Amino acid sequence: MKMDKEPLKPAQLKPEDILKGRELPASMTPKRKRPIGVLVSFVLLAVLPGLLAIYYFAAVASDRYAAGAGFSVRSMEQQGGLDVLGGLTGMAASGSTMADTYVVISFLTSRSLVEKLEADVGLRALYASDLADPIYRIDSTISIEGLVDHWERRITVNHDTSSGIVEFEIDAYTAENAKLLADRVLFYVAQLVNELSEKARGDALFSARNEAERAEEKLAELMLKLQSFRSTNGDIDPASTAGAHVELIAALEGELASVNARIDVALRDMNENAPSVLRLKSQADALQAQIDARNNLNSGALDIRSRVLSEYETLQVEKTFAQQAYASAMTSLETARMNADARQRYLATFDAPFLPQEAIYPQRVMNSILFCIGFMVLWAISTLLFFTIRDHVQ
Amino acid sequence: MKTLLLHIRILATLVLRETRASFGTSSVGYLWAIVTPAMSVGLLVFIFSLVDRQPPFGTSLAVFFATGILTIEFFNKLSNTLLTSFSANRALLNYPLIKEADTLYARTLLISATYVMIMLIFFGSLFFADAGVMPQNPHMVFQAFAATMLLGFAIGTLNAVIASLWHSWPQIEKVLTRPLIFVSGVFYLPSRLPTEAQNVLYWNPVLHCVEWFREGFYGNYNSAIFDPYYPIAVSLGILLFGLAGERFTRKSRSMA
Amino acid sequence: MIELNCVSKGYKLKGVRKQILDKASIRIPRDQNIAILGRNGAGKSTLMRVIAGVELPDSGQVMRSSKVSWPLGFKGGFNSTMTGVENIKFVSRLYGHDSRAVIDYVADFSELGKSLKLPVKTYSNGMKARLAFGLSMAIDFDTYLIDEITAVGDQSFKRKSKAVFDEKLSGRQIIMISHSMQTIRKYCSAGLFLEGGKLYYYDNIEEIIRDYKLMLAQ
Repeated sequence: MKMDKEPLKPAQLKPEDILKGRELPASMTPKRKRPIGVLVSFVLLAVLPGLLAIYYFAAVASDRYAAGAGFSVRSMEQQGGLDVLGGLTGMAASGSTMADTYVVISFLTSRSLVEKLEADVGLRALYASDLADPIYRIDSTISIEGLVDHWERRITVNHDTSSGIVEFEIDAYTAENAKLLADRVLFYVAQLVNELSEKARGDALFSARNEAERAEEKLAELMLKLQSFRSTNGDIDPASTAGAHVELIAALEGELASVNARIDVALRDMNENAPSVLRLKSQADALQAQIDARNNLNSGALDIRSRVLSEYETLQVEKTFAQQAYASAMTSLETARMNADARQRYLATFDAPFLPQEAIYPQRVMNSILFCIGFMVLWAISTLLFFTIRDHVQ
Repeated sequence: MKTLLLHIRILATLVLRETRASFGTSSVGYLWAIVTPAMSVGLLVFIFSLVDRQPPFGTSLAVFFATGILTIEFFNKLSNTLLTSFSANRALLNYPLIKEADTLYARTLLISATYVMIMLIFFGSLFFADAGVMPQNPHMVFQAFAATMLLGFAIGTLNAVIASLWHSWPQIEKVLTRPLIFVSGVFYLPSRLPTEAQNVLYWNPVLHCVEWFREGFYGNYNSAIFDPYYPIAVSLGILLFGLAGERFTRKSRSMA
Repeated sequence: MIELNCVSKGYKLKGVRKQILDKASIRIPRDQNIAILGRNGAGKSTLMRVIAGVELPDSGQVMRSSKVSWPLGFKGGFNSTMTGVENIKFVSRLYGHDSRAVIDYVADFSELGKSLKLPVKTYSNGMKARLAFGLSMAIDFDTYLIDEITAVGDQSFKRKSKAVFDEKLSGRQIIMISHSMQTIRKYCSAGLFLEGGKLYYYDNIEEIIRDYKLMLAQ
């Protein structure tokens, strides 16, 4: 259908010329509700808390002085061939002092340290002091667990794993208290390290010392046995006694032989009843009697004698062994003692607590800024989250 | 209040739909989705226990690795799934009730619920197999979970926004997050690293989440690197960018 | 009541910027059924999506004080791996309807039978359209936005859908896009003409049809 009323030239009709419909403006003015809501929430959630934070840091927060110390747990041990590797991996501290360092670090926030400090300087009273602002102050009747929790917030510990250096910092409401606490903590740390050291020493010596004691006991026991053996047998040295017997008989027999020889010689020139021969013969008889008596004596006690002798010899061998064992135990005890000495720990303090001159906490400006930013971010996120819910309103 | 109820209803509906869409129609599908990550962690733990029987900390190798790996998996799952959230749910936006942010919330809720189940099953079965430990500080485990969820949600939201504006982002993000498992303390004890390494790793918020979990599991973990405020601050900062980005790029996305 | 307040909407397609709405303001009365007319490519569907809230305006505000439907007739929104029933459940839950009643209604209406238990990806286009139409009829709205709904199916189904349509939409507001002047005359009493980013309101349907034909002739 072509246009019939207007002969306007080709296709340059504007829509307005054709469309008779009205533009129908909206009745409602655009809602400005949202910006107002946003503004209100901004004031409530960001500005007010931010101002509160600033007020707190500017006017309420009490000064906190910080004192601390730096130390490392050392041992006298010489680092062996592993040192190169240790140097390469940055693990300069050896395994055992490392472990001790970790013990010290846990000790710094432990209940036992808090209890010691409480008994020593009255930690609870220090932190419940009127100098503290209401947010930081603790109740003076707080439980020990609560006190430990609070202590964990008041002490910061830094540990450099490559050098093994531990640094700690404690804050308190007066400079003197901060230094006092830091001193006491360092003292207890040193005490702990000494205990650890003693313990390590004890552990290392324990078995060597045990060994030596056992050897000593054994030796003493054998000496005692020997002694009682001697007293029961009435013989100091059965071996030499037996020797003496044999020698005596041999001497007697030797003499008998020489007397018999002299009789034989005499019988060549004299008759049997010559007085000298008779004397020799009686001498020989006497000697024979002596020998017989001796032999008789011996043959009766021979069994006993040989048993005593073997018993004695066993004891003698055991004694020699025990003596050697004792000597070597003493040597190893000595070595162990040297090792233990080398393994001793000590606290190398390179940064002793100082008396702070200025309260470095709280960092008023920094904290105010951080808190303001934090509240703004929280406000922005909650507003955005709220909007995503509100988007569902048609 | 009415709007909030409406929103909750929408989210619940979306979660149900996501469940169906990602795990299939059968209930076995959902079970499978829970069992597979638990099993893959189990396998990993098994392999590592063959190589190195001594856990870097504590008595259980499984617990040590699982606290690391499950946290990272949870985070990765959140950030990756949220990344595709806008493009995958385009069709849904034809229902005016559903806004883009809802798909982010729904996916976060679903994945978090799934990982609660995974962790319960994994650590529960470890415990009953006598190879695990009960968490020493359960409240810290919850906090760690919440922190990981917040971080994953924040980064996932930002990912989704960036991906909708820049189409190569998914590939780039993949490259960027690949080393995550190595710098998050899964296989080693971060506190025992040289201080120089610790100072670098400190900037990885996922590492803090892993450490947070372990602080909860072990009574005496005493991490030298863990700082709960850092991952939360990072999450909130990123979340702010993500949500604001979502809101301000909405129009440019809706015309595509 | 639906209001557009100083709404602008445009988009870039392959570097060419197209302005659909340019600071358009309109108050659409609650008691009129409205036809949206405009030349091809003027952006009628986009306008409808802006009204539905599916797309956001670049600037300005869209206010709805009644329950407005999604743009009916679109086939998207179904998850193709989910079954028909699951898709229905999703939409009915989303809008707070009892899903059992909605399923019954849609099953009865769409005559999809057992196919409803199959994934939507196995459906033909006609089946999808029937599902979509049935589903949109099952949900209650104050205002239905209908974008070029063309009846689907055989004669008897067309008759049935028309009957449902008429019954369902009596007493509700309709805002529709259609190229069929017959449909427009049947349902609408007023019209909006979209041209050059502006909206022109006609409270007489015959006038707008006349102007529409004039514009087409241009």
